[in-house]
Amino acid sequence: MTELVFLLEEPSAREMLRGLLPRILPPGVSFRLIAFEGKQNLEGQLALKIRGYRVPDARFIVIRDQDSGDCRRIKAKLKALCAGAGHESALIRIACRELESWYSGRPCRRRTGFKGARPDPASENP
Amino acid sequence: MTLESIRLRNFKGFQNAALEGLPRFSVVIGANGTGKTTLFDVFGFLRDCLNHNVRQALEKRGKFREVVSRGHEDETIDLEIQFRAEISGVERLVTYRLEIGQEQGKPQVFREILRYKRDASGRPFHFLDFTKGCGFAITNEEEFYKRDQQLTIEQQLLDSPDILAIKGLGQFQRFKAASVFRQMIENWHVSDFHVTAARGRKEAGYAEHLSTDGGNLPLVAQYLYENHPKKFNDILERMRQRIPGFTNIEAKLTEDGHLILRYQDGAFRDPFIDRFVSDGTIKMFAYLVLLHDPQPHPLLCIEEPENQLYPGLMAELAEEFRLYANRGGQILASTHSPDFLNATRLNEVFWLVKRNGFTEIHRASDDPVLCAYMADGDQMGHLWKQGFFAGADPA
Repeated sequence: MTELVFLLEEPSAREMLRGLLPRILPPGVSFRLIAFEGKQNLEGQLALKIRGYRVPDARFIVIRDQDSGDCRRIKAKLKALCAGAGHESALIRIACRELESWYSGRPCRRRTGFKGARPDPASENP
Repeated sequence: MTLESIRLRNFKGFQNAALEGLPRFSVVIGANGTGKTTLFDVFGFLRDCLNHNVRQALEKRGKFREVVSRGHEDETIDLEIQFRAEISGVERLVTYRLEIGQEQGKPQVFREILRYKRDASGRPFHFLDFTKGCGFAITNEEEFYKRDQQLTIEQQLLDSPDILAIKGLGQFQRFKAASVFRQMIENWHVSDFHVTAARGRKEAGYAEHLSTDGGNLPLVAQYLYENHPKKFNDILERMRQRIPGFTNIEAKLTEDGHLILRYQDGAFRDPFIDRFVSDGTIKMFAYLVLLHDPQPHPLLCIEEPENQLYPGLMAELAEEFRLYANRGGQILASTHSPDFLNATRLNEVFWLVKRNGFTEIHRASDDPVLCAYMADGDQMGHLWKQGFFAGADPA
C-alpha cells in the first residue's frame, strides 16, 4: 500500500483533491490531505510535517499557489525545505497562478470568464 | 483526590467508552454532538443520585429509556470511576462502580461497589458492596494490618433499592473511601459561563462560590473583597497583567440594595459600570474568581472557556488552569478553539469521535503520529486543524 501525502496551502485545495483523487488513483494507493493556513504556515510547518510523518514509504506532494511570486524560486525554496527534512524526492507543484486555474484552464481564461476554458496547467508550470 | 479514569457502558451515547489516565488538567475536543456535555453530566448524574436517588436522577434526564444507550435497553447502565486518594496516610487507587437497571419498570441499583487494594500485591478488596438495597460495608478499613477475616463486616439494609449506599454511609467518617468519593461528587462543579448572566445589577446577598452560569459574580467579588483581601488583590494583579488598561474592580452597593461591578480603566477618572465593559474582561475576571476560590472545588468541568476571549489570552488561561491543578484541584475542559488547544500538552488532550451513533474516546498520547510531531515541537491546535486527530472533524 503506497500512501500519498499532499501538503497544501489551504483547505480549498484539500476540498478539490478530496473530490478528484478517489477518481484517478489506482487501487492500493491511499492518500492523506494536510491543509495549512496559507503560505507562511505551509512553509513554516512543511519540514516538521514531513520529518515526523510515521508511515514508511509515504510519498510527499507539495502544492502551493504561485500568486504574484516567481514560480521557479518558490519551487526551489520548497524543494530545499523538503530536502532538509530528508525527502528530496518530494514532488513540488506550483499552481500558476492559483489552484482555480487547474479547474478552468489558463489564468487569462479565468480572467475573461470560464467560457471555452481548457485544462492546460502544464504549459505554464516549469 | 485525583480522578484517574471514567468508564461508561450504556450511558447515553457512551455505549462502551473509557477516559483513562486523566492528568490533573485535561481537555476534551470533538465535533458538536459527540458527547462532551454528556461526559460532564456523568458527575451531574452521580450528584443527583447522591442528593436524591437513582430514580430522580434518571427522571431529570428523561427516564431510564432516554439515558440508556439506544438498542441496549435490556442491559444495565454502568459507571465506573477510579480515583487516587489518601486513606489513612497511604495513597490508594479506589474504584467506585455503579450498575443501574430496571425491574418491573422501576430503576434500581443492581450493584454498587467500592474497592481498592489493601497492599501492592493483593486483589482489590470490596469495602462496600450492595445489590438492590442490601449489602455490606467494612467498618474498620483503616486497619490494613488485619487479615481479611478480622475486618468487621456490617450488613446494611438501605431504605430503598434506588438509593446509593454511599449516600447513607459516605457521611460517616469511618467509611474512608466512601466519604472521600462522596465529597468529590458533592463539591464537583461545572462552569458554563454566560457573560449575559454575570452582567448587570444583582440583588445584594451572600455567595462564596461562583455559580454555574456566573450569575452571582458581583456577590462573590464582594465576598472575596471583604473576607479574602489577599486573594482579591492577587486576582486584580492578574487582571492587570492580562487586560490592557485595566486597573481595578469594585463591587458597588446601589441605594436600592443591588450590587454592581465597576471596572476602572487607568486612562479615565471614573470607573465603568459592567454594562460598558467588554465580554472578555468580565469573563477573565469570572475565571480568576473561580480558580482562586479560597475553598476550591476538587473537580472543575469547564465548557468552552475560550468564548469571548482574545486568542492571545488562551495560553495564559491554560496556564491558570494548570496552576489550579498544581494547587491540588483537577480540571476537565471542553473546547472548540485551536488557539486554546495550542496551549495544551500531548498528555492533556482527549478527543471524541462518533461512529455508528456511539462515541469513542481517543487519547492523544496513545497516537504515535501525534506523539512524534509533538516531540518534534509541533502544537496540538495545528495538528488538530491539519486533520491529525482521526475522525475528529465533522467531515
